[in-house]
Amino acid sequence: MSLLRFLALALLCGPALADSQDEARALAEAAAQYQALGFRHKAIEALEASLDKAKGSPLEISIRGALGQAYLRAGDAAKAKPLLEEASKHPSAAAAALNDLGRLHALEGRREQALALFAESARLARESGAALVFAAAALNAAEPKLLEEAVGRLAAVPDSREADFARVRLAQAWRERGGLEQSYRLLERALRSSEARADWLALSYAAGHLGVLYSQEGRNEEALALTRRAVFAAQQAQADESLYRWSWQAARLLARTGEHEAALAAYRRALASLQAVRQDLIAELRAEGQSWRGAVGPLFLELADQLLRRGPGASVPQARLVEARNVVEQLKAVELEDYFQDECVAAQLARTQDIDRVEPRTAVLYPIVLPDRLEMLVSLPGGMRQLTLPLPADKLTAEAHGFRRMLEKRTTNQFMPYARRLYAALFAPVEPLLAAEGVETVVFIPDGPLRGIPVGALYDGKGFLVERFAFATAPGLTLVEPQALGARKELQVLVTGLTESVQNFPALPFVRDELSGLQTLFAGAQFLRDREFRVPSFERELRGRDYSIVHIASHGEFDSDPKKSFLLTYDGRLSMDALERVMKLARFRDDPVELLTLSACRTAAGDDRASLGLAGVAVKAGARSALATLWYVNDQASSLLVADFYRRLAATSKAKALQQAQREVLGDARFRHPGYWAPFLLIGNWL
Amino acid sequence: MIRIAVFAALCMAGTGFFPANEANAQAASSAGVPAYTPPQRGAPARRVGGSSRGADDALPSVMLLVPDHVGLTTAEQPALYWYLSKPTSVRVEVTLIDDKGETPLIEYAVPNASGPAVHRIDLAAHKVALKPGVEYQWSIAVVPNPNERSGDVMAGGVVKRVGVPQKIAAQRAGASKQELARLYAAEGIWYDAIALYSELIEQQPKDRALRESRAALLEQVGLKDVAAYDRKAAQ
Repeated sequence: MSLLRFLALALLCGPALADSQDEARALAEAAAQYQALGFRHKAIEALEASLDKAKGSPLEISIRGALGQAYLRAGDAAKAKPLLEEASKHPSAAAAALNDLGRLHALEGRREQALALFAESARLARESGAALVFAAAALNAAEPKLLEEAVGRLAAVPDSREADFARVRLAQAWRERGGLEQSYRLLERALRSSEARADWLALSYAAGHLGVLYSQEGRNEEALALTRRAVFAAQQAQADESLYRWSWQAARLLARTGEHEAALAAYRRALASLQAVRQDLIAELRAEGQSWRGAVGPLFLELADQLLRRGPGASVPQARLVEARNVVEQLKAVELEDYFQDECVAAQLARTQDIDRVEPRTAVLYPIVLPDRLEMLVSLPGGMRQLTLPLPADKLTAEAHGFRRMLEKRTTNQFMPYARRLYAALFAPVEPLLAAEGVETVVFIPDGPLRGIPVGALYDGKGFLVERFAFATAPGLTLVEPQALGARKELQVLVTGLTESVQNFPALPFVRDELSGLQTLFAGAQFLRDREFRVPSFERELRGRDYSIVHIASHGEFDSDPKKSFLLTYDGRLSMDALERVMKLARFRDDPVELLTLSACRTAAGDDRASLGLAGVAVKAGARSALATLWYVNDQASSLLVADFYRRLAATSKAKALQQAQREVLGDARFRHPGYWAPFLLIGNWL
Repeated sequence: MIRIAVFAALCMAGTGFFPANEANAQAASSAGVPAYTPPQRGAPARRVGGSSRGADDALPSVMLLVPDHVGLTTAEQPALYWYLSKPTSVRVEVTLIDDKGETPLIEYAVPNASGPAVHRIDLAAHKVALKPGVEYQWSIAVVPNPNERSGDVMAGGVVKRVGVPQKIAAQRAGASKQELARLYAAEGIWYDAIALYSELIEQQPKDRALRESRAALLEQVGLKDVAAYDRKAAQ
């Protein structure tokens, strides 16, 4: 039973609690509990209810301030702002509210304003003796004098959970500044206090952070003992957010001392706890301007590392290979969710496939990029194989980014050394496995820097890989439904395109050729050209007919900030959310859109997050597959390739149609350079 | 009248109605306008970009003074010519690579390139000499964003060095530059023909006959815009 419901019941059944102020207070208490456990949305619910009860009473304003803070921590600055601004006008709640407002401004990049607010908050807190608020303001301002003062003030404050939390946060700040003595003293105090109060939650953080201190000093045994204590305390407090952090720390310490099986167990526990608080954590990280991949990604990869490590000559059991891949899949799914700020992507995960049943003549390549090596998991009709490649992450990143840059430069063949080296490092070791199974189609599930490079452009010494294999890519394995497209009935095709220069973007004259090519191929296709291609008409078309193919030949840009990703329409832009909304109108039918073609998009070289956005667009838009470009060359070659692709679609799989179209273009001596034919990616359902 | 008629015939030859052939070459020679005989019938297309359709309104268009197929030269260090439609402060990069192309033989930027104008690349100045029989690719790229080369407005062509044809070796001595140029064109040695006319034009930029000769050649290989520029420049 949830804490809130318990409290509510207690309130209803309890005798003397008819006073609504008491109810409000109780609800605020509950909210604080939720907040401490990391359940930010529940905290908000409780505070909303509390605010209701507190209306008209002196409590109201401080509840308002608390609610503002809760919204801020959940990443909803819009709702937080008015609440905090109001609270800041009342002396009783001003200090705390000003502190939170300062954080809001800091998050939105207004550092000057933020610092002024923190200073003001500190001043008010000092005057009113509110040591905890003072400490919070000092931490936010990150001002050394204030931090010094905060240590003193916190020493004098009576022990409580809030006081201990403040001491822990202050200790972290000191540790980061190299003030290890102060950090140690603060944490010791917090530890003793939480022990005395039997506060498991505070204890977990105090012990855990002490563990970090010792770990930093290389005193592993002590660090591990403290961390284990933190883990136990977190379990007692049933606090998943605390549990995941300290389990992760324990895992790292165990791995460091070579106790790999114990480390593995700790990693698994850490991951399980993390998933429990995933939604709230994503929101909080975003509220702090951090990405999921940066902050929490390493946990997934460290676990995968433990699962995949093996001695020379030894092999890892299939079950562990599958587990490692599933772990990385989870990371990818959350990354996509974080990128699109869309929880529906996770819902797609529910459609897990029996991935080990791979189609004949198909292989799935699943690279896992680790700091010291690359683990390549290869799924074939016969089963999954592991290849450990000596390619550390930073080297791979440098090569991949360099390759990508040079691929776009059509004036020279400077891409070639990269193409050869990457082939030798990544693909050559896999060749014998592919040859043994007669593989013709390779599905590549890239990660990190591998997302921005077209594998078909690797060079084996005699030719490009695309000459021998058809490639498809997907953001994750469970996000792809490798089913054949039943009986191909009459295909309904919607074609949109911009040829003219609009909104200061250059004209796309070759789109004219592209569109005429499509007109010849698909006699019944519907066209929205130039001024006809606006969001309302686009929407109307998708609502009116059951389209299988939607083709958009217009500038598309994918950015590391998903809000900056868009497709250009005649008089505006289609954001990713808008695209999803419009395309999903087709979802009310039996079949989703089979193919979404974006023939003129770009992602910046070296921007792996932007490439993630591109790879995820099919999922986001609800199409079973997408044909999109990593970069766009405003030349005849592009329109030739696209027309050829569609021409071949009737006779073969999408992956092979793309391969054949690419080979056709590369066979023309004018367009042999991969800058012309390599940017095209087939994403998703490759059949 | 005859001149106009022949000229008209040559114009149509340029647009592909009648393939350039020996008869045209003789007719043209007798009328004074050079005719280019492609070295190989049905040779694959090798010229990239160069069409004004591909250009942004803000960016100039670039065209190489090259035929649509592999152009020939007998010189070790031929002059290469290219055209820019308007002046620009955007980076304009000149590149020459051999058949491997992994390290460019020539790569430099032209600061504040002028236009409309024909520019020359001097291989000798860059200490590059062409080996016989090798296909060298050269290109001019207008680079609005050096971090995103896919956005380049680019024109590219090919040059190959061959031995001096018999006819030319025999008739070379004593021939005027103009006669030599006409000879090279008729024998399919594009770059040498263009280089001779271009040298003469550089010395006498307003000479209508010279401009007309170069324009004729350009038109025969489909470079209508540059031909128009030449004709205008002589006015």
